[in-house]
Amino acid sequence: MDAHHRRVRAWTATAALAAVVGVTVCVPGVIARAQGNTSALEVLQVRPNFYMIVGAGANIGAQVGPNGVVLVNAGTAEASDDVLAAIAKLTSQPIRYIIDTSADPDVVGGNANLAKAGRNITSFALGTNRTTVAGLDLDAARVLSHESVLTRMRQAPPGGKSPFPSDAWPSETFEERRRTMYFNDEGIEILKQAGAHTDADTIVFFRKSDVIVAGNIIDADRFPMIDLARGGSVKGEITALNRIIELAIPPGPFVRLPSGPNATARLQGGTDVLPGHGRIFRQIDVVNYRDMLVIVSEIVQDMINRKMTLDQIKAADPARPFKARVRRDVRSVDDERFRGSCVQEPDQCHLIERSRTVKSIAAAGVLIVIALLAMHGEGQGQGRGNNLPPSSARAAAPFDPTGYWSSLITQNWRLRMVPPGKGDYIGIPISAAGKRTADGWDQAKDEAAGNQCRAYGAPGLMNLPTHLHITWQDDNTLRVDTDYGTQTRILRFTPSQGRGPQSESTGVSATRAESRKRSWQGNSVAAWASPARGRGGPPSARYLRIATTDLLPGYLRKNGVPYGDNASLLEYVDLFREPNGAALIVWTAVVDDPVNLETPYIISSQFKKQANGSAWQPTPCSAGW
Amino acid sequence: MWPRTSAAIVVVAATSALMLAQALPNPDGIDLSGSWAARNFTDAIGNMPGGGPRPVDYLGIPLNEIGRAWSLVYSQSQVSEPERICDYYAPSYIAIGPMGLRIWPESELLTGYTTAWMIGGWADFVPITIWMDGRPHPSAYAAHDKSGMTTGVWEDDVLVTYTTHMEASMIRRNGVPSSDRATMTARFSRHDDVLTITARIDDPIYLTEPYYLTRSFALSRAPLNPATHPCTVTNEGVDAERVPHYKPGQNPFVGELTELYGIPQEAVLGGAETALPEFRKTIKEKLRAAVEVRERPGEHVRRAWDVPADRLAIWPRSPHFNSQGIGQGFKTERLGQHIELAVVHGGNGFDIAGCQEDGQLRVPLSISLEPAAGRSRLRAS
Repeated sequence: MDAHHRRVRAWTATAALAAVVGVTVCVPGVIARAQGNTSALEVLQVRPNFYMIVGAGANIGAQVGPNGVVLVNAGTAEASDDVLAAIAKLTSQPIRYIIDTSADPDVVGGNANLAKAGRNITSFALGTNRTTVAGLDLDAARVLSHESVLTRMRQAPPGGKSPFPSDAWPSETFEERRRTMYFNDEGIEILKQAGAHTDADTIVFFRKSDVIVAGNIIDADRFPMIDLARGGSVKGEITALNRIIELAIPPGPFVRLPSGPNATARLQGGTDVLPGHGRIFRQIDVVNYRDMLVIVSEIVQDMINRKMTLDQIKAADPARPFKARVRRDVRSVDDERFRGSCVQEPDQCHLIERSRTVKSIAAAGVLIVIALLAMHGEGQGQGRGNNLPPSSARAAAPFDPTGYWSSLITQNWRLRMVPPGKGDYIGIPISAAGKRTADGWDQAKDEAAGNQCRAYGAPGLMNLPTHLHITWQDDNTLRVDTDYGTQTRILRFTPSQGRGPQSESTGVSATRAESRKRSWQGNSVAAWASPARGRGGPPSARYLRIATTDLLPGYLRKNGVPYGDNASLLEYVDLFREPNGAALIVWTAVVDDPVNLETPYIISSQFKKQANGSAWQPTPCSAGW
Repeated sequence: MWPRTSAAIVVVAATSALMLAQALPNPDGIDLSGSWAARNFTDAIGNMPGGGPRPVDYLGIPLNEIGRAWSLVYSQSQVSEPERICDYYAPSYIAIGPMGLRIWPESELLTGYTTAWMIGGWADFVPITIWMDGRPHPSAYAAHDKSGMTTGVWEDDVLVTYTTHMEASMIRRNGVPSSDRATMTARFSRHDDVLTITARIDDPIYLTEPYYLTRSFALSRAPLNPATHPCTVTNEGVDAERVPHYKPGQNPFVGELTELYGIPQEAVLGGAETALPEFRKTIKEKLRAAVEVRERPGEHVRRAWDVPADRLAIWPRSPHFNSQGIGQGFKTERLGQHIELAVVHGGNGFDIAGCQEDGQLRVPLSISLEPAAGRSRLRAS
């Protein structure tokens, strides 16, 4: 294949990729995006002397120091007044340099206004005096870029005029692959990347700050904008991303972190990469971005190799795995709680908050004493408004467990939804004796003996794929029905246990139910319980604690993994409510069987509240299915 | 006179307040500190050290179409990309990983007020700070750290944490993705000496609804080492700039669960409906067939390891091993011309060896960790 054909082929692949993922961005599109709301800029402190300004078009990097300000990207023309106001809050020093990472309107649009507001390093003008020659402000900040940026900015379409006025053009350009400068006590590298998102891209690396401004090579909110008409290419884009990956350093290795008095320190380290749009990246984010592009382009290339037409490729939608990933509203996460200066300095925020808190406490000292007295009085009266304990378990209930619930089988699906094969003990601390029993399991024998319900005993029941119907049988008895196996568990509260919370040290574990007839579900004694508190005080019941004895020997799993008649079962039932009103029961069981288990078997099951019993479908026990 | 009276009033009030405070419930909730040993029974398949689920096992995950498509593109060899070798899981790993937890409070010196709860790191998991001081979460534009940003509040005696700013990671250890927009709400609920973590993972990119997970831990007298392992990058067989993946429709593991266990495809590929009991009924006949398929013990294990010994690679990274194969102190035992299982105790978890074939990393699956029973074919020399 000659060079021409290779070029054509490469362009075809790029065009196909562009067609399917929409990477090509025409200039009007950029302008439309750039004209968004610019009134609310966000300023993030990336390093002590480095900031990212968001919302003025492309993200702007700002290095601030005693020698002045270096901006990377100028944002849009419309937002430049806001940008100047934001910079004025950071420093009184003038803007010295503006480095353009491309010729995109959202990158260079603010060049003229920001440059005029600044002052270059060779300026000797005093006060507000400026030296102008032929309308050119000789004191203005330098606009520095690769020559290709200037070429693109002044390139007029046939019969038209250049897209940017001359006062927005770069005032200092370079043609070499790498330009360096040392400013504000820091080395700065400006690195040309050929044919990435356009043919005029540069990456700016602040070596001491360890910050890379990637410009529109990276758009954290969507696929990269590869502008074929302006010299962009997928290959060049991948090359550019690989260069950023090489320059960037990930945090770590973390050697025995954290311990000691600084344990709560934020994990420091790692290069920050400022994309053209969206959130700050770390090296691994760039790797993810690169991988996404490589995979999609290889998939497209594979389709081309298989002689698929462009329409067929578009129909196959090879970028589907990544589409949603890059469509997002970046302001959606806790935006309303954002406090600009706190972003990278949480400790400072903490100090601010603490300072406010101390003042408030000092001002309200007497009120605190009064409040403590009031709380103490309230604590004495705990028990639903009077000094008497609740009259029943139902009255003492910290939550309402009644209703229909559906198990959520998000874990161990294969072992729970489908009866596992004989000898599949994964996840059970089975003993040698237990294995011998399990290896002798015979489903047909169980069926013949009428023991189809052996896997539906209390120790294993809640882990099966079932719905629950929980009701109060009376004021001191909870009834739990399952549709899977049509089992019923009776959870009895003794009168003393029902009236108030049990601390764990004196709870039901010390209470042994009277010996009764053994059954699959055994005898369950329930109590509302509360964890022991460090400082004591009257605990309030939070969860349900169930101790079950008198169990018939059964199976923990439907493939005959056994528990014996010496097994004990202790369960904890939590009910959690979500902000949207949804409720979740988490049912944690601790099965102890010194014969068949090497350690206690602790397993949790989740149940989601149902609006009604429409999914309730009773099915009898089955030794197999 | 008045100054003395005022001072007396202040002293009496302060003393009263302190005495009352002693009688009031601890405003910091309950004590979660200690070493919590993992009890990986609830998610035995997902949490088996080194094993985890099979490559295409999305059972019970509320994946949307995009999440499913990305999962099928994913190759487990991606973990051997040079930039990923020393990468760490997102904080959601406390819900999906196999490790135990070491938890301790960070307190203000004078007041004793808990400013943060700490969860120690592990081999591939950095420490998490759960801020209790009411600080806000950062801007959506802030960088996402390895540790994410987690805040906590007590709801009764349950510590409820909220994590944002996680890196893109996975919610099942076979590459089912979580995006950098995922958030996690976790509830730390202690009962006696049992700690249960219930995690809710929301991901607007890959999930149709919240994904709930639970893990349980037992309080351990033996202290867990809260250290994050140091990591060095070595060549694990994936060249720089190469991105292992499967083309659409070409993932070779799609039919694996069906072949081994008879589980039908509509279940294997996940979706919210697959987590509900009634789903069992919708595919009743196919699942009944699955019962008949029941694997022969050990058969499926051997399949995953049926690769030449000279293709051995190590996963996860461990200071005990190097990229050339087995590290010092261990030797392989061949099974014919193939190598089988490699499970070695080490540190506070397990070090696992895997096999690599045609660029695809194979890891042991569905294996009971019983080195004492002679299951391990990799032994200390």
